[in-house]
Amino acid sequence: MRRLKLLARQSGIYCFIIPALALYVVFIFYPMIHTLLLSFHEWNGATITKKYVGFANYVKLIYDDIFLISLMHNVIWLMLSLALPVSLGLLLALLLSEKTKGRELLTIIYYLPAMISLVAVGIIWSLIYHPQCGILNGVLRLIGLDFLTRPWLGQTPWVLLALIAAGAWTYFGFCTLLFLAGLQNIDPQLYDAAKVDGAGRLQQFLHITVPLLRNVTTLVVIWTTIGSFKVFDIVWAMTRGGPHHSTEVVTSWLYKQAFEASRVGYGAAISICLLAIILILTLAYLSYAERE
Amino acid sequence: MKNKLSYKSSEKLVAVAKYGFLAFVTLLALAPVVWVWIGAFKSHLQIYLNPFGFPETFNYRNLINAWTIGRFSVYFKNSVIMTLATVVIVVLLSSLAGFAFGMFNFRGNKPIFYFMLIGLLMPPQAFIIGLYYLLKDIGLLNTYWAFILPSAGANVCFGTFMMRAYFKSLPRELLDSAYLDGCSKLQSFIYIMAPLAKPAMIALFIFQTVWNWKDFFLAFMLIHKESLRPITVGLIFFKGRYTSDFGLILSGVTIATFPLIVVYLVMHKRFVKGVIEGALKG
Repeated sequence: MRRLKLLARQSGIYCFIIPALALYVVFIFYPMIHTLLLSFHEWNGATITKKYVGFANYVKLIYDDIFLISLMHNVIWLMLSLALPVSLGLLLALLLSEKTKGRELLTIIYYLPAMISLVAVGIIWSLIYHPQCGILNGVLRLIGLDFLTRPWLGQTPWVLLALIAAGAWTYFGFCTLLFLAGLQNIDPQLYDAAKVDGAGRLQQFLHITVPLLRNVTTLVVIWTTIGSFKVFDIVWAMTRGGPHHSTEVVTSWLYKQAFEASRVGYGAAISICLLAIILILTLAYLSYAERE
Repeated sequence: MKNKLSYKSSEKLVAVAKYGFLAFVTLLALAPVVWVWIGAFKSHLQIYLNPFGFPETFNYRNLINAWTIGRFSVYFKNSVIMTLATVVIVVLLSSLAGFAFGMFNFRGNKPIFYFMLIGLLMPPQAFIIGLYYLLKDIGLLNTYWAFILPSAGANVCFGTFMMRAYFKSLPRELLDSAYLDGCSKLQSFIYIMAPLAKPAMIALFIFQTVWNWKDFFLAFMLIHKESLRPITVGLIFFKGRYTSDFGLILSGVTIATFPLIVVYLVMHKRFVKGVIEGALKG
């Protein structure tokens, strides 16, 4: 250990870190600070001078109905993602962790949608939802449920759900993979012991599987949270936030404000808000999960 | 006897339900992709009249049109250049930094490392506006670098994290003996440690390739020149231009999705392992 310290003291060790660190500082960290500073200004992106307005942009956010609606859509996205792809992933992982024929093939297939860029996913699903030639309405007609057919991307409550379903399609495989890896790390002897003690399947699940999966669960929940607040690609590919802001999310609103309406300072305030939400939720969940 | 029989048959029922469910999910996962790929070979009329059917004649014209007139050949080339450049930078710099963080004690090891961890949690939305004006000021907006440098800067945090964990798991005695043999740090890295870290580097390489190939946000925000668009950005504008021509859009999506899926199917073991290792460590 002492030798290693000595070795390091000969300096030069920093040369290994500096390239990576520099890239991160110049192109990520500094721009973030710059965004933070911009959020205290009013600026259209073109003039040389910027007007300092203090927290005015943040105050405006509170009164911006569309921003609040967007935020709510992100929250709905998070809730439904936890409900649908994450639980489906857990269920599939549980099924696959038992003796299953073709387990490897199935995991490969389940993860396959994750290989498709979200833009392509959005386009694929907007074709699936297409009123005339989409397969969703086609299937509904085929099984005689004509009354359920609708222009999925044109009606208010359905369009957001349709987008979230498309998101779930690319995401459940990732959850399955992680939960499966977590389950395979659990010592099978624990289950044998529980069986000897007369524990049923549900008890085994609650008292062995759930606690021992905690690390993976924490990871998946954090990943889902960050992902749900970051959504943009799918929304932009399918609806651009429409119709009438019914699928507006924070990032699409940010883009429209900062780049389309040239309200750079206001857009920056949305950016920083998003960062704060993600950091607070992640750290809060982490400290909750660690404490238990 | 009777009890045993019914126990067996109920077990069978559970198995049937289980495999039925797994098969249903398989269908859900595959059907959209297969539908698109088959649709690429259909004419517009056929898609309208018979969305489920197989193409009556395999019609390559849409694919060729998308590749040439739709300029997917250009977008494809751009994606390859930008992805490859980013991934090479990330793997190289992350390995160097991970080696230093994981194997040496030096002043600032922990603080600098935690500082880089912030980058792991930071969504691109948080820095995109500042980044846009930074790149504009230094004249890099609308170049390949506008994607490569920030993408590498963001991903290098994840890479460093992953490589550090790997180097930590390697025995330190190796480094000691290399040092006794008169190796410098750089030599011990190149000749001893880097070869040992090859599995992690390959996993990182794969991970990064998928991420960067699929990335849309950075390129969409920072590259507005049509001839420099990567495939994801090209696809979204392509869809806007040919909204009514289904066959052409399906062909565009096929070109955008097919390569990565083929690579994935060929190398699935490495992919799955990479995802699990990357995510569980990350």
